[in-house]
Amino acid sequence: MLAVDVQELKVRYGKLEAVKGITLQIPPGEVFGFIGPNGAGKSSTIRVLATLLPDFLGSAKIMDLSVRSQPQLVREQIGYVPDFFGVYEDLTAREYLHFFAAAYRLPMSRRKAVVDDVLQLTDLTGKIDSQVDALSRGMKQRLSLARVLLHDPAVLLLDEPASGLDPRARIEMRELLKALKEMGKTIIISSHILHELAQLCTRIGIIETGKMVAQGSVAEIYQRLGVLKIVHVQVANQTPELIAKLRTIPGVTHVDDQVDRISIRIEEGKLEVEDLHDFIHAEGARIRMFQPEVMDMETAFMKLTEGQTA
Amino acid sequence: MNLLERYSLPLLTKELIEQANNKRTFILRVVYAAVLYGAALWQYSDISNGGEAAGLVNLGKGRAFFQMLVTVQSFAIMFLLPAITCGALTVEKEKDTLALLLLTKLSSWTIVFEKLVSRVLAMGTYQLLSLPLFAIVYGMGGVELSGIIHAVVSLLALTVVVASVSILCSTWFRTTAEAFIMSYVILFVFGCSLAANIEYTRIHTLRMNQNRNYVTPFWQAFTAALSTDTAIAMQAFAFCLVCMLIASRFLFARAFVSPRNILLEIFQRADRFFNDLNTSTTGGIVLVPDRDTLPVFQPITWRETRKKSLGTFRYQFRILMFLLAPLVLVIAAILSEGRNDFTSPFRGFPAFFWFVSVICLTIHSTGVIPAERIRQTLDVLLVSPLTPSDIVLEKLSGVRRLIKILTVPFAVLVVFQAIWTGYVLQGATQTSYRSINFWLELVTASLVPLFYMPIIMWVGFQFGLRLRNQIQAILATFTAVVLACIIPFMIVPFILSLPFGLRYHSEISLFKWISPLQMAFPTTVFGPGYKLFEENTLLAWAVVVVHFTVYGTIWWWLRRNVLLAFSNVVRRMEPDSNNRLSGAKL
Repeated sequence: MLAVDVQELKVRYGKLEAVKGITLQIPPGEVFGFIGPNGAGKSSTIRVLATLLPDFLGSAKIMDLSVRSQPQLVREQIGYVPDFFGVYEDLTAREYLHFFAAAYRLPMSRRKAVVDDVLQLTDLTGKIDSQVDALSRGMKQRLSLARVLLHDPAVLLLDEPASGLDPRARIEMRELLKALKEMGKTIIISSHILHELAQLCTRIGIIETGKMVAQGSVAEIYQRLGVLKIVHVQVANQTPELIAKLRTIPGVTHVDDQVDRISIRIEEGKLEVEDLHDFIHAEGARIRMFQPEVMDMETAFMKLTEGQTA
Repeated sequence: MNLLERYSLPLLTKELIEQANNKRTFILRVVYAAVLYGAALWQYSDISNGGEAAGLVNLGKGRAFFQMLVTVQSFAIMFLLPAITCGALTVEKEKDTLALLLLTKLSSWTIVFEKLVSRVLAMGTYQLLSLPLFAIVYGMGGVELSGIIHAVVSLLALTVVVASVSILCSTWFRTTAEAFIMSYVILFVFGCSLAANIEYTRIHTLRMNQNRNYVTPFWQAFTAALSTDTAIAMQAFAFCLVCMLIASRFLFARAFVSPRNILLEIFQRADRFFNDLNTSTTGGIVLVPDRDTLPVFQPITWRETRKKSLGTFRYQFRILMFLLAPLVLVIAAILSEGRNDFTSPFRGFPAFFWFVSVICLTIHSTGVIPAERIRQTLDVLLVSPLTPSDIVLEKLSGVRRLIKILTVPFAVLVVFQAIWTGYVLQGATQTSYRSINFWLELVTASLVPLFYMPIIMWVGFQFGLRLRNQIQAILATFTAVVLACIIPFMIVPFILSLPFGLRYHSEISLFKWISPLQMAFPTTVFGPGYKLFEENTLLAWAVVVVHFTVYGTIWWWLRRNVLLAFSNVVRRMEPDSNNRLSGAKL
């Protein structure tokens, strides 16, 4: 059974086609990172799964329940954190959580224990009687996560949960999501903080103009983009001949002679980094720096997308 | 820099372009024209006796027509202008664009002035619509040209005064809602002071019974000041100048104030005052304490009735006291005086109760969904397993409790009025309380609040759900209430009289009784149909039954419509959305 199964999802707002046939299959326990520029269709996809967008084509299922025909049952299985706080500021943290515990029909006998548990998990026990209004942005976001954990949903839909948070709050949020991952929750998370997704997600989907550009594990994405790896080299006795010879090596696609370094773009698979090092050394060059560029998610994102919106 | 560049009024240009690009400007203009020309048509029909007396017979009858035109225009200015003006500067504050304006070379005075002129010009275009009607009035005769000029100057002066008050409020307050409410409150206080002065003068003159021309010094000065066009224009200009000076003085100082919940602050201050009063008088006895519990089964109801200022019992109890106190005082005064020569001791109370009730219900019911949208909590609520009916009915629980509270003064009024009419006034004849009209009035007066208030609640909720913000919803609800009152009263009888050739003042006048206004104030809005009821009690009962059947159906339809359409409007997936989706255009 898949935790999330989306087939050929299309969403349209008037004349604008925001999502153009996305297919997505996420097994239980996975953390799926949704990356894409603004207006790419991430939030629309998440809102369909959260039963908040009725006008869509294709099929969407959560834990084998159809979003279209069984939305009430789907709501029992999901926890949705929107890209804004969504908290009642006139309540205390305790009242806020009891409010949603009642909305999710949690038995009275269990409510207090569940509220205490989620507050402990989100490290908000000390703030239980604080007005929501008085909490920091990071705390409010953790309170939102505490809310969605009340009814122990199988799937968490988090729409840019770290947006607008300071670095400390972001790290706290990441640690909390890791804890949820260890609890076996299936998480779909969209974010612009790309390197954080790389640390957290088991699978990544890159979306642009409503289409899925790339999808797979983090390693698969890196491997796919690895063909364009860059090595930065600095030699003490650089000559124009060395540059010319580098350009003739099979597997080297481009050599850029910069002021302080030589940037060599190689095709991984055709030329290993170690072989390149040996070649330069064999040419009598005294290597001062040899630095293969670490492929991060932001580079991957920039390489896969063109900065267009739907 | 040439002269044209120096005085180019960029803000005014931008405002006028924005207005021209806004669809709402044109919709409002069409609605305004429809109301104005509808009222004119009705008045003309009344003058010409349903079209029977046309042509030369109507010559010289322009005065009534003219008075109606001026009255409608004055009300339109008072009602419409604050709505389009109060957001002039608050919208800039809400969008954080006022700081950008203040950083330019435009002075505070220029900003306020250009904003004011843009609104006055907008209202001026509405008033231009009445020019053809003034021409007809002049053609009919009965009005001097100087009278028409006087009216035009007065209307323009009123426009400037009302716009100045609204701009002042817009400068002072942080949000459009605050500026909107305070504009109306200030204008209402102005209006009431004027009306009170007129009433005082009338009563005083009657009591003195010596000099019928006696008027209070204030009224004397006021009427003298308004006697010439120049005087009116000068005073309006002076008032506008003072408002502009104050507004430009405070524009910067009030540009970056934090948003405040004024209603809540007023309630909190009232809380402290009443608590101190209670402590000093009773030692702190609390009959109905607000319990600080957690939600059990109906979380939204819990929040609406425990956590929201307008929903909690103690605040609603204060509204009740505010309404009941004057009534109780009048009842006590009448009983202590032992007089039975008052035929209508409670005149004005139903209007006062309705005024407060419509405002409270409209503000509360229209804000139910916009408040969730502003706080961005609606989505969070919608992904919970609560059904649409649960959400809607629980969200309205605070408003329903307010309705129960507001019904109390009406009930007190009905009971005391019945006792007064049945036993005190005509007790000697022992016939009144047995008469059919007595019971008819009793039943009508009892049913009116029970039917109308839930309807206002559902109408307000509908508009709050469908429109962009609460201000629009409040205006739409007020408009709906006014239209529901005047359409059956004015337009329907007129339209029906045309094709069927029915006599306007006979059978057709029964349609007036579909209007809530006629039913809520049967004796004050004294229609020709009332005489029919005195002669035919069966007809009277039939009219009452039909009226409440119609409004009962409207009530049921509004409730059903909201419950069915809720998920669709808030874009929430429901199982029965499938049929609709099969036709989705993708």
